[in-house]
Amino acid sequence: MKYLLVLIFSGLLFAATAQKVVVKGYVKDYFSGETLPYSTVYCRQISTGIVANQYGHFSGMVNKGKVELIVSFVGYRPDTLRLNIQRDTTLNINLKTPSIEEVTIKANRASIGGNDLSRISIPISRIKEMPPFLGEYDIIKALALTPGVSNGTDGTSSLFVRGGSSDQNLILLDGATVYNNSHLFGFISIFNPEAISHAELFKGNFPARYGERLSSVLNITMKEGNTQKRETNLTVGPISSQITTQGPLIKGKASYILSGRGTYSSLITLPVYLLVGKNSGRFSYVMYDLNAKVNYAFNENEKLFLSLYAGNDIWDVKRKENTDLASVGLNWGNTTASLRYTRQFRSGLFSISQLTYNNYHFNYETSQRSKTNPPEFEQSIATTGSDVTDFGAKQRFELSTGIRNSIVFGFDLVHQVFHPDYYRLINIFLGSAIPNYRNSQHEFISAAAYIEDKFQVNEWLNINPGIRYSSQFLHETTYQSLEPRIEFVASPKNGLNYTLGYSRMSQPIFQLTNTGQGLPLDVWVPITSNLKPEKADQWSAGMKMDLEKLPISVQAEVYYKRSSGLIEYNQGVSYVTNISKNWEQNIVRNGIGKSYGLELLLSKTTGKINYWLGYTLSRNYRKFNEINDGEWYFARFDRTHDFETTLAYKLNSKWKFSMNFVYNTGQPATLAATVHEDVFGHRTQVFTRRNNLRLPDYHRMDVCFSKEFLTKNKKHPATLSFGAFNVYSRINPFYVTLGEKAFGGEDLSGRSLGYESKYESGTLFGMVPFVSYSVKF
Amino acid sequence: MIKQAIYTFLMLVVLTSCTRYIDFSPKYEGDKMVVNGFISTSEGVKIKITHSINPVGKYLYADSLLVKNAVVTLYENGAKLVELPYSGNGFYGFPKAKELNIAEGKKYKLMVQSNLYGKAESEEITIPKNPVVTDLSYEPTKTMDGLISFIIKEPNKLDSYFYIELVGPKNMYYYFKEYKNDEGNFYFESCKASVGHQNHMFLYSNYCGFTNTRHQYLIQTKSYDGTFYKDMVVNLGTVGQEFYEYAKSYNDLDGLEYGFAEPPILKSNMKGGYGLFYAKNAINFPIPPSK
Repeated sequence: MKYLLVLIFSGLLFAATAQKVVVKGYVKDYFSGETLPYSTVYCRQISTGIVANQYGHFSGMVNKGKVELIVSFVGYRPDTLRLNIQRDTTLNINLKTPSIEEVTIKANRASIGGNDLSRISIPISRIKEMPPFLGEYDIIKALALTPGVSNGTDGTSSLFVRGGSSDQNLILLDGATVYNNSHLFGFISIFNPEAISHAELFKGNFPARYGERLSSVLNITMKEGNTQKRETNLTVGPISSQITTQGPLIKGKASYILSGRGTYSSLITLPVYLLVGKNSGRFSYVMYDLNAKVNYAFNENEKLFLSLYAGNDIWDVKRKENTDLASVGLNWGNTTASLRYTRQFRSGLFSISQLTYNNYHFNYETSQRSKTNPPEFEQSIATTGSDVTDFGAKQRFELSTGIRNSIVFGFDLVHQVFHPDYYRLINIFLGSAIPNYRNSQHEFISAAAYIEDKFQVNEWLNINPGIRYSSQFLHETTYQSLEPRIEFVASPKNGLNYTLGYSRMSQPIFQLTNTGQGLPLDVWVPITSNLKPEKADQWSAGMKMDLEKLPISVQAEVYYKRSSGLIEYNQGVSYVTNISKNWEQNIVRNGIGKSYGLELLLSKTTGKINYWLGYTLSRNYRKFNEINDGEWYFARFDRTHDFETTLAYKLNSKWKFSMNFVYNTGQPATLAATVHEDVFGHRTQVFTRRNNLRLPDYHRMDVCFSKEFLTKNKKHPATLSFGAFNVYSRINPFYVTLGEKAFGGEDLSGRSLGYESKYESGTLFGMVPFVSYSVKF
Repeated sequence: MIKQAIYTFLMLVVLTSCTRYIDFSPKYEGDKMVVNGFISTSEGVKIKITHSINPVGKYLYADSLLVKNAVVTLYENGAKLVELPYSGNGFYGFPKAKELNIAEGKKYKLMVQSNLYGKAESEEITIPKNPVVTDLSYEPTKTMDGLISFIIKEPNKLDSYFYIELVGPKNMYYYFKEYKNDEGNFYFESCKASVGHQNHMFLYSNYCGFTNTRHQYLIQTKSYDGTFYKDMVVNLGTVGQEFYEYAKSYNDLDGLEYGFAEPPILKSNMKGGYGLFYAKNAINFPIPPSK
């Protein structure tokens, strides 16, 4: 630890002695005026460079005199600026699209101080080059096509990163935490691609500014809105449709973006309901989300951003049989808001002040009324739910302290309130010891301070140490955690990087789940005086080689992660059990985990044909004293082999073809170890150990053709896409069950003499064709 | 036009999900002995021994599962009590409880040895106290039901477990269900277990408070064609925790979550094999014949 602090402060001292001037500013899109997050600014004279931040802002120091700055961003033509700089200078650099063929980042990554290993940065334009999922472009599903990241199974929007569970991902939407990123039970994520500008995922080597989760940080940036002209985009897809409008409020100073999306699945099921009959049951589903963002530039140094998101899923099933009526209703959703004020000072100091709010809630209600069996039953209703609400204040400073040094420091303060186990029961008796209503509240304040340093030791070595100190204040107790982070990036020659990193993370909240699928019944619970934060240590090492002549890039990375303080539901306990017992009585705690793996990535991002090939070899284990006799067992999302490729080919100026192929080892599952006659004389499948066997392997191929054209009447740019998900109709198991057929006749009592048992596989999607249409006006 | 396309494709999305047989045969652990049975102060000891089979494949039910040549030994408080004789159809037992002096509070254990399936040994179980039942009554209703009502006074401890079971004619449909207790309603699933395809047995943990409360159950005493059922008996009893947990592991999950959740691990107290050896104690209440 002390060596880490020495590294940070020696970097600062080194910086303080140098002579230099500050070059700072924003990198923006030439046409829309939107800033370009994570663009790069490389200075040839000093062989060093800067990665712009989330706001497209960069700040660095150079020696006085002539400098050549090369500014680049994926999907944009690089710009070279030749300047004679004598004093501190502010630049606004505008990059033009297209063309992908010309985009090459020539900077040596070590000298930029960034690391492509353990970090995935994808602009939304890149995601739109991949085949859409059932006609929907989806950030989460695109990220799952990269090494070390998985979605689990079809039909989920959860992320599983390097052996972590879905609750171990910090998902930020313009800085506000998102607790559930699923619509339609996970078919699509809540992130409307038309409202999103950029997604950045950290799998390891976490910057100290991030904490509170063990496995990954997904930082999603909403678009700011076109500052030059009004623009509307309408997309009609098979699952949902969306409309987005954006434009200037005050030209060049203020802009907005407003986006809405909804599904029409209720309309689809209406004919079925009418055809089959009203007694069969009625299903309705309403899903919507709204994104809004307004930003205002007071001047070239000060900006204010207000981002809002609201989304909800409302699912309702009513079933009527004669005069009996049963209904099940479920609704869940997120609301987030963030107000951010950024300011760049003359010294190059960049300040980000932020207030955030977020709320995630779900409610589940079942009711039953029967009149068939006298005496008449009363209506019984069970309503359960949970919610989590955060209010946060964050302050971050970014400062270039020298030609080869920059620091980031700040603090976070969040008040978190949980209602994990709300229920109300009407005409349902739990027993004299248990009330018919409960809504317990847990709350704590989480405070964290951090400092990161980017220190370029010499031409080929960069050291990025950081430290985060976090504390959670509960009524009864306080937890503290010191989380060191360090990363070494060595670049012995141009186009070749080696990386070595270590991160410690802690997490003060947990998700109780029986499914691991990110379903709304999964309950967020906090640390308590009896439940400590979970912790993880991750080590990683990797190399990246850019072969410019081909031109391809090759990455390889190994990681080892161990975690402690994990919790799970006890065996045989479910969400419903939380009613009769307090949730803390239903969990097993002090679990440990270990995961390790090798990730390989071959990618080509320029030219007519773009592709990446990813492969992960990994192991992922959990251990609890109360599960599987205290022995290590495979975690649900362990995948030994995980291979994915995505390819985009520009056929001509209008037509484009894209394809995905995914293969991975079958997931561990709890399957029947045997069949026997039980104590009641019934033939029963016997489950003996958690995740004792594996499901069949998963693979599929998706294809998409898309055509970009101008509409006939008004010459609006439009895109028509069509293709197929799972084009060869692979039966990928969403679940498996044992099915059986009788044979050999019957005995005197009518019981079959023999049975043949075989596994049946339920799949969500066979081959699914899709078409979607998008137009800008 | 676009709307029609959306409808068409969404219907395709719905229709494309399916269930099919797959060629999938996971590794199998091999056949093991399955020992199921009980001991009680009124019915003595009754054990059935079968063997487990591969979940995937063909097999003949009936006789082929029975283990007929096992040596089954009953131990009482750590000492050998009796070797249970084979009585046919896989059953081993000793129905005369008084001859063996089987009593409340004593501890029992089974050891089973088979040439084909090796050795299995039960955990030690204790016979629970008989329930103290008061205010027991039965009233036929005006329809096809009868209403049985009672209060259980003892044992009034959190870790006591109760059951109510309806034994009636075999292979016939008749319902048996909770009606109202003093609090006016029904027990929640997490505090009870229901057993049997027609739920003819309910088990309760006193953790939720079962004693000192009036309980009522509806019994279907007449078939839909108007015939009255004969020889119906209600058993009211206590059971050991091992039986409650075994039954509960069938009822672990409920509702929406069931389709996605981990399957329940079936409890067993037989080391080296599968099955359950449990203790119970009960009083019987014959349902009076209807007129």
